[in-house]
Amino acid sequence: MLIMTALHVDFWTWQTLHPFLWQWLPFEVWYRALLTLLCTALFWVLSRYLWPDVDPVELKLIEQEEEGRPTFDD
Amino acid sequence: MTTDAGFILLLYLTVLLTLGYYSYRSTRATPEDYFLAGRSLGPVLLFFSVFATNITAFTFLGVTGQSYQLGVGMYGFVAFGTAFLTPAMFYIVGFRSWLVGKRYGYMTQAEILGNRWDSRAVSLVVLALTLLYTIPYLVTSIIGAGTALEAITGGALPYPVGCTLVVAVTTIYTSLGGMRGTAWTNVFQGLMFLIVGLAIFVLLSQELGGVVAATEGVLATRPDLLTKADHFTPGSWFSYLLISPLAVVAFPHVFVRLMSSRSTRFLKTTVTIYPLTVLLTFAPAVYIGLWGSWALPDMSGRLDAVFPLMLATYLPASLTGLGLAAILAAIMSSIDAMLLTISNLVLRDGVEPRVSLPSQEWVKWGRLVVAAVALLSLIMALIRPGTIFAIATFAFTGYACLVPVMIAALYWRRSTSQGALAALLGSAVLLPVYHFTPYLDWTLWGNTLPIIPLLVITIVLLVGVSCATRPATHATHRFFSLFDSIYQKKAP
Repeated sequence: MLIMTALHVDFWTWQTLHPFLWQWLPFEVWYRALLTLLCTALFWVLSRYLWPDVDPVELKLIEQEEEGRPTFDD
Repeated sequence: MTTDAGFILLLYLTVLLTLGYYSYRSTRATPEDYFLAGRSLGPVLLFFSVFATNITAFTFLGVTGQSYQLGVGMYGFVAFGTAFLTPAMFYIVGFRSWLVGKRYGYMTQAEILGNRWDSRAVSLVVLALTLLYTIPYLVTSIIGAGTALEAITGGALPYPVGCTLVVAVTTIYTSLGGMRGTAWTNVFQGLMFLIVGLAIFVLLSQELGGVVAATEGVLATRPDLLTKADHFTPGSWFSYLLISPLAVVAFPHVFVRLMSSRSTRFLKTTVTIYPLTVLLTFAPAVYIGLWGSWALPDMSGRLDAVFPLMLATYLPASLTGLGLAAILAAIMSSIDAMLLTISNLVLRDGVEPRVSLPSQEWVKWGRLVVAAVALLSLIMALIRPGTIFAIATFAFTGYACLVPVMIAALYWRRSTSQGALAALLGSAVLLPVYHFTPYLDWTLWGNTLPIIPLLVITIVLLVGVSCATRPATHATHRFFSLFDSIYQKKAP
């Protein structure tokens, strides 16, 4: 997230116009569009490898397990 | 307004009412079904109900008008944060909130935060702040609807008539269909403004001689609009990255939609495709404004009229009607969510802890509160208080200041109710000082917005007071034993 934030606050390209892709996409537009697509790729990786899948049935099982477990107050 | 445009508008409103009626017939008379669609939203309903709720008239009228004046930098300024931080916050805050909501039956932020620290005071302060920030935001949306209708129809629908029409139709389908009704209408509305927005972009570019000719026209007359050097500072650029995307996950009307997901898989789908749809919605709006600076010179005093005037000048009347319907779709998909959520907050967090009623009665009261809030907001919109826009601006900052407290609740075991209260009340007190007086302007280094010092103060109060007080051990265990179970079992 820090890298994406740094890439977004790109003060080193503040005045950059070129490369002007296909004569209608100035640097500011295609760079930002590329970052947006990178976000989608990052979130896909996050969803696939870092974010646990939980369905309601599993939550119910966890609930049943927890009922027999001692709490901090016990 | 032409007959064609009037017919399209009527057709659009009729579809909304029909969807509301069919949802009414399939909604069971329980609060969970009425306010959260039984926590059963699938991938399409969940994505569009979150996305359409977050897109407002600002996308079409505000972004287009500002791009006319400030150029292509507007995409990075307002849209990129939404594409990046908003879905990231859906994971950071939304996933864990969904887990405890599903496990313990919580629906709202006030319920989750109150139970996390076992504190009725935290629950009441969060309820008060979310209502304080949401009601003015709702009123500004209605004002936006009335203003847009009057401008686009050339006065055929005067401001009071436009406001009343939008509120009446939204209230009927929202109070009838509840969350299920608004989710279905949001799919229709979301598709409407995505497809119509892209179609208008393509057709306008053809009318202007193609995308290359239109952009070269801007390059010849206003080259400053093709970089961000003359119109944005790094300080404001960074501040704006935080303010809007952080605020979104704290919007109670977006938060409860995340809680309505049937499964985490659908939350993941929403997070993954969200940036793409932001690009497809905002980029055409930015280019329409940019080309407007070349095709419609001398609009600097009427920036909100750039989008409707581009349609009226270059496209046939029937497409102007579609453009109008797309703008209304963006506005109404936010109003319906706010109406339903305010009703949920008032009943669930304000009334339910004190009053015991059967399920059917709660739904009946839910419908009545939706209608009452709609009427109250309409009256406020018709009075059009001069300060309402200033209040709505600070509401976004206020929402963003709730986020550190929400993150602490879900990630920091050592956080305490006293720390949360200090952070919530501290930011709520300083917020109007920043927005309505010059006393603290000296803390806004480098042209930053008040959000930066306010976030620092919120975090310092939260951490400092938490470290000096004792945490609620039982409530902490309830939350974190669940998170530990999930992450230990499902570690990749």
